[in-house]
Amino acid sequence: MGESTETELIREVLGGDPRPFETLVRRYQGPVFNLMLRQTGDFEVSADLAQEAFVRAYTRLETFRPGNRFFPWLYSLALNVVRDWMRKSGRDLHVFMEDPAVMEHGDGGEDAERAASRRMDGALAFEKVMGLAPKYREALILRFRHDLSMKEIGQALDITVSGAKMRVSRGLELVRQQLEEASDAE
Amino acid sequence: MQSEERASRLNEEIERSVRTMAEQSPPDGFAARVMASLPPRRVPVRTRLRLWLTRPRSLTFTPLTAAPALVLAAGLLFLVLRPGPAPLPERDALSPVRFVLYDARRSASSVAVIGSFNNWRPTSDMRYDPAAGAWVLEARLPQGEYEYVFMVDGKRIVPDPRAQASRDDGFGNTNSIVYVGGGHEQAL
Repeated sequence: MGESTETELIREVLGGDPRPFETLVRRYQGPVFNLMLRQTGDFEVSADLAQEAFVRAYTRLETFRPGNRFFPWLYSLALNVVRDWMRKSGRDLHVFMEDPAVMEHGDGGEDAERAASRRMDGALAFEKVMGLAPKYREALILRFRHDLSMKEIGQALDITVSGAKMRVSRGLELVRQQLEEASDAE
Repeated sequence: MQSEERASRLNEEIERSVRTMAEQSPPDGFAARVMASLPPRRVPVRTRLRLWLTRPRSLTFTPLTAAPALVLAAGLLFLVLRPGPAPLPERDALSPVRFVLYDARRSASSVAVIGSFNNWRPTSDMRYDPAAGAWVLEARLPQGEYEYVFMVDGKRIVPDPRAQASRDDGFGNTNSIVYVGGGHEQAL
């Protein structure tokens, strides 16, 4: 779906016809649902949060700026939804916030990881990415899974372009360090 | 150099792992569930205006159609530039319609009629008639049913208190309705 098509859909929804919004839901339900799943680990909760994210996008559609892509804007709203949920449920409040202490290896489970696998392969790399702090993990997923530009990553994560570059670069560095450590230990 | 190559190779490995990562599908019927939970949407007049103003338009001319198009454009230009309030669009079989909003103390500084007959654009300004103590617009419309409201001072939307009928627009607003037809004047 091109940007112009998305713009047309959004115009129709803003004009009072909600039906075109379903096209946007079907297109982005996977990424939004999986974002929630990565954060909560609960299928049902993730479905509820993903639904809430789309409803929030619908009710705030007038604040969407034409000319931008819909997905980064939606992702930003979805992150806020899951942040709100974590806050209410007493989870970590700061997982998406900037933290001067950027050394954040995957926490715990190092022995289990060693026992499970020492192979320097994609599965291990993926495992390390999933073990990153969300702010780095999501930056890598937006960059390499969804092919967003640094500007769009900045929009999605509500940070500057240079901040987005730092997140991606630092995320790669953290995973690389862990892979090198795993390789050296073999 | 060797460490740079190693870092590059690892970066590629990481990128590939993220690019090809498996994702779970949302539950069946998720999109329908979302659509069913959407709240009613109120479409403010301001949004309607913005959408109309920013609507993409494409005009294609061939040599055969260029001349009529130019004549049409000149006609439109004449209509826009001539003094007085912009008229409502005229078509065949027009019937007179008179819109009236009483304002004995002239508390408003301007009133326009916006409705389905002018794409909800505030182009149909009403004139104030001191004798009647009312804002008045006389227009001619094709037969049919039209929804409309008054826009007061360019910002306040007021349904016609004397409308023949009214209808909820589904978003919490009330539009007035006028039925035009039969060559009879519609005094509202």
